[in-house]
Amino acid sequence: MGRIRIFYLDDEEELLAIFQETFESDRHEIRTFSSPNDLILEVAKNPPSLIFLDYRLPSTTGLEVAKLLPDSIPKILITGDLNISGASGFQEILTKPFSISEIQKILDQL
Amino acid sequence: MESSSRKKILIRTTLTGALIGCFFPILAYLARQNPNVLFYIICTAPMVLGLCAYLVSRTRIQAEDLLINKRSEKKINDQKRLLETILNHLPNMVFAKDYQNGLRFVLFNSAGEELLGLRNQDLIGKNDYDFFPKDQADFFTAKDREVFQSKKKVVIEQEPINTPQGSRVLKTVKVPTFRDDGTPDLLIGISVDITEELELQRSLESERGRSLLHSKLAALGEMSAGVAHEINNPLAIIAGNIGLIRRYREDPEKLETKVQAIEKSVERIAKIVRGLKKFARVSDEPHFEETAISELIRESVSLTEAKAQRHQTRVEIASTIDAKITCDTVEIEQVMVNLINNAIDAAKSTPDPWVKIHAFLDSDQVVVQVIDSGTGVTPDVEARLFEPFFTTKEVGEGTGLGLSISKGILTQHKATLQLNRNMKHTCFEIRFKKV
Repeated sequence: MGRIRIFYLDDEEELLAIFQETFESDRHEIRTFSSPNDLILEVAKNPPSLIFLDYRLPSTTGLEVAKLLPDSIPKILITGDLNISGASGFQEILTKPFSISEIQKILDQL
Repeated sequence: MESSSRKKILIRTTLTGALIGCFFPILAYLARQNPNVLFYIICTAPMVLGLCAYLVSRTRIQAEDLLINKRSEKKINDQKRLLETILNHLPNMVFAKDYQNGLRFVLFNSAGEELLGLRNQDLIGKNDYDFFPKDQADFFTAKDREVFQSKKKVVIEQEPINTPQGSRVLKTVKVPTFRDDGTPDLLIGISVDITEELELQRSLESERGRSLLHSKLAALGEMSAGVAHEINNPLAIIAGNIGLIRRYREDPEKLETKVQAIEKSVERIAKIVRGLKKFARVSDEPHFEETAISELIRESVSLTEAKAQRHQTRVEIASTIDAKITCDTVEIEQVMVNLINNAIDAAKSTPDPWVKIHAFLDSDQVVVQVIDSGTGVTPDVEARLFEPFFTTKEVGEGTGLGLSISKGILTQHKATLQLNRNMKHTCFEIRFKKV
């Protein structure tokens, strides 16, 4: 059986690197994206089991990106903003700085 | 008819009469030689006719003179009526005082009567000491004498005065008139009641203070949301790296990269917090100091970096100069940040968004231009640009106070803010006086 595929979209490249370095394991394959277009294309080709989306992105938001992704894939919104409105359809909303153990717990449950 | 031409006619007729009179002895002589009555009559007729002509012309001139007198009297009366009508319907108080007669009033119009709550007959012949407390009367009289000494009009910008309706403030123009021999004659005074105007000005100023506060609060709200995001990202990087440090306890090389990444993030947060320091200033009074314009621009650009990055807009200082202006740094940075933020908002929807800032000298002025890749402002928007609460941004995105507050701040700095219409792209231009 292959590894569980997890995607993460954020414009903060350094955070993407940390995310991958922290959560990549024998069980989880982490793929990161800084461009929403790349993510959408990749999801169409190889749908993951879970997608983490950053809320505030250059020229768009995680909410907009989520609308373009299949409903069948669970999504988690990660945000550094204090409050966001109109976020629905997410399995969970996490705030930055996110807790590693919290995300680890979510990944372990997959 | 002019008096000189009248004189001419009289002289001419008198001379004619005299000339005819000269013939009288000759005619008398001839009559004695030839005592024919008819001949006598024929001979004396020219003289009688000449005399009659003289009398008629003199009477005619007298009658004309009378008519002229009547006409000029009517004219004077008409002018007097016109003047009285104008004076008594002017909303401003007009008065005249006789210098030679202890500066007593000789004229007072209706607006003046109404303002002082006195009637013309109670005013004429009296002077300031009859109506006002001594200190006020002293002030008025001193000003009056000053007017005659300077021989020029004197404007008293604010003149407090007690009236039955309470204390009023007048703006008064005093003009001296002089007789032909140069001695002082009348003092003409024209007063505008500026009490309401002053009150309005005061309330506008306090209104401005309130909206300034409002805009600061709105900016603070907008900023705190943005700041939270800007700080939480590096915090996430720090938290993530701490997790990895735990993992790499035994690997000094990897440990070092993580520590460095944390340091970088800490500096990133510190920089944001330094930017906030300005907003925490206690005093609301502007603090003026000489500042280099290039520094102001650099600092303003760095304060808008996060927003520019978010909207993938290039913000570039295209040209700058080595010049200083006297300003309240925080306020001018607020203005520039506002202009750059507006420019980013306008540019972000263009295909290749950019914002360029130019600074240059134009004679003794320091000019700062903020240009964006947008295509300008439509005339209907331009007309309302500086109106408070006018915004073209979406609900929740702009308060509509930015430009009006900016303009207010710049006015306090004796600087101007304008839209430069001569550019292909949208260009806002600030002009400061160079130090």
